[in-house]
Amino acid sequence: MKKSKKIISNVLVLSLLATTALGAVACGGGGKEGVLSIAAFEGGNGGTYAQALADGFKKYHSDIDVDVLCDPTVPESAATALESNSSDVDVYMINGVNIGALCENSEGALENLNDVFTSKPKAAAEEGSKTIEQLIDKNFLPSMKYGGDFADFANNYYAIPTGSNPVGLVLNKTALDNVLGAGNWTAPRTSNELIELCDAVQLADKTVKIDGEDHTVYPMIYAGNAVEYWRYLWYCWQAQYDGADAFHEAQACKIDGEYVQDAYFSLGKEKAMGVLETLITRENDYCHKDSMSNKHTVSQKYFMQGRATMMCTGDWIENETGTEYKPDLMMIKAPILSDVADLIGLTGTAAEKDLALRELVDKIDAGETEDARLTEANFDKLVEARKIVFTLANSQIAVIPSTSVNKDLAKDFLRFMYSKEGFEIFLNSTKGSRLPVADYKPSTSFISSMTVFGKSVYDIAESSPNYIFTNTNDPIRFRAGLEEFLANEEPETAMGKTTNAVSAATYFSTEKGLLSDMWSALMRQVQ
Amino acid sequence: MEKSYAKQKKMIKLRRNLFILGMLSIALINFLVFWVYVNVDSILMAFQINTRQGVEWTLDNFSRFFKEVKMPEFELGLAIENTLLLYLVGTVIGLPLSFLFAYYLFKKVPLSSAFRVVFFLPSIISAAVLVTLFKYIVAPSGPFNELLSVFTGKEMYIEWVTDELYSMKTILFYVLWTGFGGNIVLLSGAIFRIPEDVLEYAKIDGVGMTRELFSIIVPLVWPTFSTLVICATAGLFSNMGPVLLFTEGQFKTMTLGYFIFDKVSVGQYNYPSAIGLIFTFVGMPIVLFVKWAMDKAFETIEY
Repeated sequence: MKKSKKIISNVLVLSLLATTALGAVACGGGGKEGVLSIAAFEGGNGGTYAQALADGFKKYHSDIDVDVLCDPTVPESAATALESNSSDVDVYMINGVNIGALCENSEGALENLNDVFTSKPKAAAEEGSKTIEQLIDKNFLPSMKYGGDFADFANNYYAIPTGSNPVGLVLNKTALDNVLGAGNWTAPRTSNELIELCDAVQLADKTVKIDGEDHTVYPMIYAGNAVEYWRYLWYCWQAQYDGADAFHEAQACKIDGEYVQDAYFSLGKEKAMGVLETLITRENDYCHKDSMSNKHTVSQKYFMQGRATMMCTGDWIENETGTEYKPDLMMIKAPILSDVADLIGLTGTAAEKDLALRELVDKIDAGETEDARLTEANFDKLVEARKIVFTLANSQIAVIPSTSVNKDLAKDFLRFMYSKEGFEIFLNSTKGSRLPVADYKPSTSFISSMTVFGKSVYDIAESSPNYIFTNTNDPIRFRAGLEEFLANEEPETAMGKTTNAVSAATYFSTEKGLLSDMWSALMRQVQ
Repeated sequence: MEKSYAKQKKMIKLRRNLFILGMLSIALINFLVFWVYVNVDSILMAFQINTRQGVEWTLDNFSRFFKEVKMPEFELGLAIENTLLLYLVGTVIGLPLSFLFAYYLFKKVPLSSAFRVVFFLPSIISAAVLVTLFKYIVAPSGPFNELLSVFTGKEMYIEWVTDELYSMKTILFYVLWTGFGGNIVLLSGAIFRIPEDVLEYAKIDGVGMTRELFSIIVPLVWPTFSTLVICATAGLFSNMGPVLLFTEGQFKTMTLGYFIFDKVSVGQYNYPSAIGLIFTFVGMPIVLFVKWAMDKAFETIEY
């Protein structure tokens, strides 16, 4: 009895101490050597791409195991695991991490990927003559690096882009044909023409029958839980007016590399917000009345059903929206902000200037390189404006936690993803999402299998776009905490709500005042 | 012989102490890591900002709070107002109502079993599912507006969640409705524990329902009631309500708890820590006062 009591007490003590020790060990990650663990975000790209890549990779690494988790909650668990340096995952494929904060505050939670960028893609063997850094669209490279000034991390790569396409204004061709008649409408080339199209749809006052019930067709729709989709459009207008470089610098509150308070409040932003207000305000009734209350999946469903003719969304819409309605959708480049007409020296009445701008856009789209109405510099300015396309590619990334126990294997996996085979696996499993590599093209059979919508996205991606995106890579964002918008209410919500809606001008000037108040505190943290 | 006995005794003592230490180690480590470390660290963070040179010690986070609380755009003042409203509705209104419902169920009035299920149902369904269902019911084109249209004879299109005229009121209603379940279970448990003899004596003495409720049941379940009030008061400033699931702080529904959560979710820790510390100082005397007042209200009766 006494002996058994002694054994039990010893076992209890040992098990408690072992649990404690295991808990402490787990803080440093609990991965298993030889088992590559991949955790991927299941979102608009679907839930099979990570497994498909893993299967492809395993063909060349038969001696290892690959565990894949593809789940909508991965980004949340990744953030916590990375911040606490306790991840047991080897590769995360997610929609954004705060590289700066992870480097500065979490003792370098991310593995340095410089050697991946300077190596060549590899499937069975190394491929081609270019390094991965040379293959990736240059636009995205800076946002893969730590953007601060801590010497230990400066200029190092910590993330690598995965697949993403252009996002922007999508037209429901089937719905527009239903409302206005086939051949009676054109894709808007300027922001004024977009508003005219909204007026035309509204004036037509048509309905669409869904499950035996008539529903009014609205010009536009959006979702209250994803109002940022509007930025795929109005950020392009801002960049068209200010220039893409100025747009990118403005996100860090900089002009020519220096912090300048007014950089956040450019003329282009003010004008772009003005057009947004016209589209979103309840007074004009352009947007579906359920927009603010709807989740994005519901609004996308309404859009597919033809209850609205236009929506700002991404290449995922056909993948994500399960509906028996299969309309022809078409993504278009952001119409040119009509105020650009003044910028490039067009003269006349507002209508004349806009008409000229539309003609010029047609010419640029047709590949022409000059026009008698514009100087060469102004024509080039318009060409550059037309190239601007919004993308989320800089935030669709893969990272390796520094706690990974299979770092070399994880890096090999990233090199495989950047091989031609990896590119095709990603493209096929996501039904069209592409790594940002211009050298790789989808096969002709894949292109011919695309829907009208997929083809329109492909055409934009192939038109040498100048991609813009939101970026939090500067210390003013990740260290000092400057947010995209300073007030609690987002601009789209402030302008689109029912009660006490705010005008673009008021929102703009309020934000200006707020930044002015906090400027010295921000500067203290970055200078 | 005596020496070896002393040695054995020492050994037994050592083993005993090791055993106790082993048993306590998990709880101690848990306490040290998740209470001491977390709280000390968050207090320290309240006095820090991150700069180019590294961490700097400062009172900036506190001055930022006192500046921003006066600026309506940041909605901190509104957050305090909404947080107090949540407390008012959940505790000052919800708890006495729960008590009345619990008494109603105790008296086994008609349909009391059915009502028990109705009241408790929201507590056993996941909050995410319940909010989704609730939002569907009160959606602009949802059943509730349709019902209103039938009753009023005109088309009702009210955005209960996304119109700032109604959004906070809708959330408060939801909090009140879903708060009943848990409170009723605890208070019913306390009421059912009251010895039947006490109530029978009262009945023989001709005590009516109102007198029974306020002069017998309330004093006897007061420890349970006061514990619920004190717990709710202690969590007053950290209560974010179901704001994350409903509106993510938009449409004038910001609460202090959500404000702090929102900042932390974008990687900011220092400023929210300062806000937390400020409200710990504000909340502490309130909790102590409420505890004092609750203890004073009725003498604790053992039964």
